[in-house]
Order: sequence, then structure tokens, then C-alpha cells
Amino acid sequence: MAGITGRRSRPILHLLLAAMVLLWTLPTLGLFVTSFRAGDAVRVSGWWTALAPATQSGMVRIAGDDTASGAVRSGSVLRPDQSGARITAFGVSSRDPDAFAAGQTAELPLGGQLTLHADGRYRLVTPDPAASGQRVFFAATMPPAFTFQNYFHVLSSEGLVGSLVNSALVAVPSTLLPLTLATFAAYALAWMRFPGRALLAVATVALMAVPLQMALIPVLRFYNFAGQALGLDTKSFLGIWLAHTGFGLPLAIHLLRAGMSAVPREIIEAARLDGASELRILIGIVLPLSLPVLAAFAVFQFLWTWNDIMVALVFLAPQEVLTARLVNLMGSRGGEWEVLAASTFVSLAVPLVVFFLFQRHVVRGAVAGIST
Amino acid sequence: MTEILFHHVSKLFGTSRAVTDFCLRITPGELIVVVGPSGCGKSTLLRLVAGLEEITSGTLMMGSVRMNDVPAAQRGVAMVFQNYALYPHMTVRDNLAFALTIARRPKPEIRAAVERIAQTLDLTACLDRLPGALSGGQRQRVAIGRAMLRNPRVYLFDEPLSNLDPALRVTTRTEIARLKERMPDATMIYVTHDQVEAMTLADRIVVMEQGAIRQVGTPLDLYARPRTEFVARFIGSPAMNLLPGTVVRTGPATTVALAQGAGVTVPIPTQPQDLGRAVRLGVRPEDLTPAGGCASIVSGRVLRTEPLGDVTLLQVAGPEGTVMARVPGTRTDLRHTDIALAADASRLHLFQDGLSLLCRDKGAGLSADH
Repeated sequence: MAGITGRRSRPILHLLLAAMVLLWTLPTLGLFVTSFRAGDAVRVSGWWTALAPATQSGMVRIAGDDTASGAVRSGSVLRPDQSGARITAFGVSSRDPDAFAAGQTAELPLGGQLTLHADGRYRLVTPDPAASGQRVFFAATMPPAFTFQNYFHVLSSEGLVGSLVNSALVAVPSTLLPLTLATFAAYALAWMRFPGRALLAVATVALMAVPLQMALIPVLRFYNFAGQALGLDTKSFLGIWLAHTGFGLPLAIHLLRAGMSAVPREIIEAARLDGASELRILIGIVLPLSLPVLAAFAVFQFLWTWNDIMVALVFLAPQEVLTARLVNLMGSRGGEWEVLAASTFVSLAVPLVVFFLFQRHVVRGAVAGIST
Repeated sequence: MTEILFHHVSKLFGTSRAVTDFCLRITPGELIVVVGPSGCGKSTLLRLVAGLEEITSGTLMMGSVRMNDVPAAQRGVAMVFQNYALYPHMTVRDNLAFALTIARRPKPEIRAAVERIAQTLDLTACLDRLPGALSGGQRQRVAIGRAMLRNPRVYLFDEPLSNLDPALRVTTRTEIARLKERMPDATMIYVTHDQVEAMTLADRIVVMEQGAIRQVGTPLDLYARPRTEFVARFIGSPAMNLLPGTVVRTGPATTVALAQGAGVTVPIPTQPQDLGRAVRLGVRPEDLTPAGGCASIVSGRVLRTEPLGDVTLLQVAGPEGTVMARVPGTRTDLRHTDIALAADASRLHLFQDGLSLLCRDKGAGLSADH
């Protein structure tokens, strides 16, 4: 390895790394920016233009107003949320939408004048107060605009909160359950002597090679059968907890066993001589010393169960987890990227927080698993 | 006051023998040092006593109780490990108190006991530190203290000084010796590969090789009357010189002709049938002294001198090969000179086929000592 990562190849290595990091993080950044942009801005320009002022064209119909007392109307062509925009040009017919500069007065083809100022205020003088609305075309420069509106929207009206809770209800027990079970199994495999120990250890590693996609349906059939036999609801949280636990256990046992084996043998023997029971050794000595590995697995398992959709679709029918909700949103709100981006970021936020909280442990624990 | 009795104890790992037919009686309050090269089974022996390994065959008794199937925690033994085996996530105080906490002793009693031991071992200042913040010597003292707190019947030391630097090794060794003096009733088994530790600490030394006892005896007994060439070379530093020779006269004293033709008469009896047999003459470097003329055993050219201050080691190229000699004072002037070395005849050893001629009559009955 020393030759490959030697001093001479360092710049290339760094360049490659930087390229990979960019490749991986750029879509996320795009998603992040998009989730804070207004929907109409998303549709006319890419997220990378969001930080610079954007030119946008629009049309407003100044409607006829029966209650108007005079022939003069005034108001703004801009919505309140567009208050920072500057009008650059406007027109009164679709053939020539930017015939006049801002501040000029246009003569209307049917009589009357329209004055449009840069800040969007207009003044319309019309001979016929009851006439149907006058169309105003304009081009405006929009300042970079970011809004939390998308987040308010998805969190309040798209059913995201409910699915967020469901995802948490799936992911947290699905992490803690295999962690607890694997702790005992890994300790036994690492430190207790019994016939067939080596074989069992190899078997758990071998189970890691079974693809989930292959095992899912047989497991489901067995689970349904067992559920019916016991008279239990087969589409419940219990089912998905058990499924995630089963699929997570091989990695958990392997990782924890490797981590626990790294505890010096003499420490455990000293505890045994001190009169500690196996349970006491596990809880008092081995667990505190293998915390990094425990944290590493917990993070892996949490991310995996949080991001999972397949197991959730198969084992959890009426309740909808976040990933399933996102898929449904794709169907119903396919064109509204800002809604999708915000929803996706809501679902991304939890794993990101978890990862950054535990990243030190993840790296250490993962390396511990590999090195044995 | 616990007597330990090994009765034909063997330990197999799969098919390889770690300890073979081990027989020994350790008297109460004795400090036994087990020495031998690495892989000779001495650590396994300790683990058998501790209950960390199962005995394959034979019987281990402590007092009048058969210990083969007694769990480690109930044997009343405490072990001090080479790498200290302290609990790294607990403070020194908790490390010391661990066994008593598990035994659910009352808190004031634990506190008092911990503080008493800390006082004894000069650890009071670091009671609330983690082991990682201690020096090697302090860590080993904590390990010893942890053993003492359990008030065991038997102490087991597994190369406790091997991880310490030489200066600390000497002071810690002295501390262990002092500790033993304060606890005359405690039976101790001390495993080491360091023969200085063995010579200075032991009441008796057990020399092991390939899982079996080669010799048991007091340090000076082993030094003066090694039963085999292995023991002869293992005890004493630098190792004993072995010079090939032939028996030319037998009787109450034996004359051996060495390669260069000099005849050496040794006060060791031989039988007439030994005449003409190939033997090896053993002489310790410290028994060789420069001498003139015919009285010499070895003569040759000094290849190297290693002055140690009080003594000088000479590497002499003689007709029998290279011989080490240890002469008093600083004698670097002897380098590249020819030298003749003599030794007191009563300090010479004779070996045939690796076995001392002194012990030959006892045959293979190594168990005679037990």
C-alpha cells in the first residue's frame, strides 16, 4: 500500500478524492438549494442560478372593477412576496411584451394610458371603467429569494409528519432490537467456550451474503403463516421490526464480535478471577470497551432502516413510512420539484444528524470490523 | 497457608502437549518461580492453577481440595498479568474495588480496604485517575494491589515485570520481594523467563522445557548442581561453557581429555565402562581465571573484551570453540592477546548426552524431588 499512496501520487489521489466528493455531494446541494426556492423560480431556472439575481417575465390582468369610482386605477403588478423585484420593461400586448422601459407611460390601443414604475406600482387611466381587464406584460429582475414556504407546506399538508413518525417508529426499534440481541450473541461467540462456536461464527458471516431481495418473500410467507396461526395482525410494526432485526443481525453479530474480540483476553480473565459473572463481564467490562463498534452498527442500521422502502412496503401496509410517502409524492406532485426537494430534505435531515453526531465512531468501528 | 499439589497434571491443546505429566508439591507460604524459554508451558501451568484453562488429566489440589473442576473465581487465587489487565474505563479506585464490589461487601469496608492497599503500594495520589494516565510501574502496582485486595490464598504472577524498563524492573522486583516478606503465609507462583528474577525471588525454582519439569531446586542448588545441560545453560549469565572431551580415566575422580590434549581431573565419580565416552565439560564464565601454564583448561586468543565496569567479559577462541570468561576489573588490555584460563576443579560439571554425570545414578527419576 505504501507504494500506491506514496508521496508522488498524492496530488492525483487528492484530485480524485475531491472529484468523488463533488460528484457525491453536488446533487444533495442542488436538492438543498431547490428546497428553499419558490416554485415559479424553480420552473424557470436551475438551482445554480439561485444565488444570482434572475430575470423573470410575467403577465398581470388589471381587472375591471365595478366599485371603482373613477377612471384611474392604481396598484402593483407584483405580489407581496415579490417585493424585492425591479421591473425592467413592460408592454401592453403579447406581440411586444417589453416595448416600454420602467417608468414610461404607454398609450393603450383602446385609449387610455398605463404607467408602470420599476417597483411594480402602476397607474392606469382608462376611458371605460367597466372594460374587461387590461393585460400588462413585464420583465422583472428578481433578487435571490429563499423561502421556508416549501417546508411549511410539506410539513403541514403533505402528510409528511405522520410518515416521519412512522419512520421513527420503524427505525428506532429496528436498530435497538438487533443491537441488543447481537450484543449477547457476539459476546458468546467472542468469549464463551462451547462446542460449535467457530461454526456458528462462520455461519453468521455467511448469512451476510444472502441478498434481502431473495429472502424477503419466503420470510413474508412464513411470517404471514405464523401470524395467522397465532391470530396476530400480520401488517403491524412488530412484523417490520422482526424483519429488520433478522436482516440486520448477521452484520451486527459479525461487527460486534470483531469489536469485542479486540478487548484484551487478560482483562476478561482478570474479571473472571475477580468473581464477575459472564453477564457482569459483558455489561461492566466488554460493553464499555466496545462502544465505538456498537455506535458504528447502530448508525449503519439506523440509516438502513430509515432509508428502506422495500421491507416497509412488504411488511407495513396501512402505515406509510417516509420513503413510501416520498414515492407517492413523486406521483401526485411530480412537477413540483420544490415540494419534492423539501420533502426529500426532511427525510434526509435525520440520517444526516445521526451521521454527523456519530461519525467518529462510525469510522473507528467500521475499521475495527474490517481489520479482523 | 495453602499447599498446592500437582499430581501428573497434563494439558493438551488439541494434540499438542503444553504441559506434560507435571508433578510438584508447593509448600504453604513458598514462592516458586517457574522459568523456561518461551513456549515451554510455564504460562499454561499458571492458567491451569488459576482455572482459566481446563486440566486435561491429572489432579490439582489446593489444601485438601481437588481443584480440577472448581471455577476460577472460587479457587481463592489472584493473578497479576504481564500487560497488567487493568480495566481501562475504570479509575484506579474502581479497579482495586472491583472484586469486593462484585462480592457485595459493604461500601465502607471496600473504601477502607482500597485506601489501605493504596497506602501500602504508594498509590493514594492516583486513586481517581484512569489506568491510561499511569506509568508502567504504577499500573503494575495497581495490578498487584488488585490481587492483594482479594486476600487470596495463592498469588499467581505471569511475567509481571516483562513490560517494564530495566530500572523499574529492579525496583518493582524489590517491592515484590518486600511484599512477600510481609505476607509469609501467601503461596506464590511466579512465572518469568528472566533468570535474575528467578534467582533473586525464588524459594525454589522450577525449570521447564517443552512442557515438562527439567529440574526443581533452590536457586543456588540449581546454580551449583544443574542436572542437565539445558538447566546449566539456562541458569547463570553468561551461559555456562560446554567443552567437548573424552573420558580417559574413571574412578572416584574422572579425568577428561579436551580437544587440545590437556587432561582435566574432575572430582565426579565414573564407572569403568565410561572409559572412552564422549562427554562435555561444563565451566561457568565466572569460574574461569587467567592462569599460567599447565594448570589451564582453555587457552586461546581473546577475540573481544566487553568491559562491564566491575568485571570484563572475554570472548576467547580456543580449540574447542568460543569460550566466555568473566574476569574481575577492567581488562580491555587483554584484547588480541593469548590467554590461558583455569578453574577450580570442584566447580566443574560433566555432562553425557545432556545429562549431568552427578545425577546419572538417579536415572530418569526426576520425581525424586517431589
